[in-house]
Amino acid sequence: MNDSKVISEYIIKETLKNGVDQVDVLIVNNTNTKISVRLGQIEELKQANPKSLGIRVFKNKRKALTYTSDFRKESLQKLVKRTVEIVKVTT
Amino acid sequence: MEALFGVTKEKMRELMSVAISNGADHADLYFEYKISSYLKLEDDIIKDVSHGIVMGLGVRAVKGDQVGYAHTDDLNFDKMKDAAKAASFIANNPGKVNIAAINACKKLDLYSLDKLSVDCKLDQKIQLINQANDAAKKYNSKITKATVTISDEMKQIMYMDSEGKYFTDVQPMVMMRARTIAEDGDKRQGGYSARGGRVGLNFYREPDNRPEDIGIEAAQIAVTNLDAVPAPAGPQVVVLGPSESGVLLHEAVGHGFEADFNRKGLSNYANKVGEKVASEHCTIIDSGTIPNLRGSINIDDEGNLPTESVLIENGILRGYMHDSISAKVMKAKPTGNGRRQSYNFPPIPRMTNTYMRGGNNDPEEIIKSIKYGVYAKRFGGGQVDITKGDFTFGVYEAYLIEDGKLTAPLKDVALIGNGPEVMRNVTMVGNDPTFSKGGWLCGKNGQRVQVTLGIPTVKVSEITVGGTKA
Repeated sequence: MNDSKVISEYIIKETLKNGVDQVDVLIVNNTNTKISVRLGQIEELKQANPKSLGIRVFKNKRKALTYTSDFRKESLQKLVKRTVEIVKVTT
Repeated sequence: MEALFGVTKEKMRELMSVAISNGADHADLYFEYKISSYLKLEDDIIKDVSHGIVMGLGVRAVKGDQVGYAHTDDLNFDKMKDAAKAASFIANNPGKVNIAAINACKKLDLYSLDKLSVDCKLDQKIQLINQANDAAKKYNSKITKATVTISDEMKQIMYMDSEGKYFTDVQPMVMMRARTIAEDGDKRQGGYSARGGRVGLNFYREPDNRPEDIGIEAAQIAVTNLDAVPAPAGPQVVVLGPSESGVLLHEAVGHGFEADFNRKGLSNYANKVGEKVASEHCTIIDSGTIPNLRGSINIDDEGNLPTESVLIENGILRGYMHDSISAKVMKAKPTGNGRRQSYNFPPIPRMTNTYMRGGNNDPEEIIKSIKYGVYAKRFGGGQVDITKGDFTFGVYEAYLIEDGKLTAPLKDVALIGNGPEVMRNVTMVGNDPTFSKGGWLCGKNGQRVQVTLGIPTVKVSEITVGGTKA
């Protein structure tokens, strides 16, 4: 799955279907680069492209937090299941 | 494992060609998929649960000892190609690309993947931490608070480099920690205990590793310390207890043997191979080859086999811990110490399991030999100047030695000294070498890696004790 909006809607729908009271989804995707040069030589060259998704659900005033950078459907399905399982045991 | 990351070996070779295309000497790809979770029980309720997956690719291009590094969490091929391109710019001499044929690396088999904690039901883990919690509270009514956590992970990695090295590995880890507070009137003391390693949940059925053992140990320390007396300040004969005192070896000696510090001339152990740097009783080894220990690895993060590196043998400096770059620059063999926290970082020389070999003395005989001194058993936080080896450590379980016997527990003990000097002042070494099963995390250059450490009972003729007794 690629589109952030489609993914968010999918997760919200699936968690609500499994009986949570409230849910929110946060997706972050960015790119940053760092280069430092000393005496004409590159000392540090780094590029990063972090991408991550967090799920927060509430049920009967209990909360669960999970996260992933694997946006494939089967993996998200499993994570939703785990999240719902977790919210039942937290206090 | 290619399916897990959605790439084929051909695609990996294509990425590597991009990374090396600007004239780098070496390029490598490190794919990682890590599942981790954490569970915390505090005041008899589940306070915190988290669970997550982190996946990504790190691409490294090396020119001499310069490193270009790029990583991406998005394993879309274009994004991976962008990362390879970015790393390639460490070199500036585009030319013919030469990538060797794939040659699967040999690796060890140090950890079982049976009953991994990450695969188990939440209920099972909740039951375990409850057992530890109940045992701690039942141990003594003076225990007023207990916190038990269990954290686990499973890291799946896949590596390929421009010399043709290729491997995959699955690295499990689990750790249970218990913290307690004991109170008596206006006295308040804490205790801590932890057990784990590269093991499955069955580990917690073994004697001494059961949740009850962990809870009781944490409670015992807190309750014992309620009766602790101020420690004598100043230079003292100090006995380092087996297992956890190994942190002193790790911090004050081990780091000085990481080859990058030596190559840059930053370590006080630089250029001293063959010289006497410790007492003849000391043989210090770093070995990533011991089954199930927290610092053990089947293969290091750049495809070299872990080894048993002898750092000091009977007091003589024998060698350093290397990654591929430092081995090349210092014309030594890689020792399998190239490790990284995750795909977000390039590998650097790191310790695995650092320990001192056992000696000839019976531990009791060591204590009997001392008229007045301090027995330091468990170490908390500390600070170390890696380049000089100067350290201060807090000791959260310590006892006074009087006339050859352990007597009163001591409170607020700090050890202040210099690592190399302590090694020169070792006068007796016990025949009880023990590895710590605790959750040690070593930080260096912003990267934290899992390690462990070990030591037998060791007598040091003098360490400065920071105490509060007038």
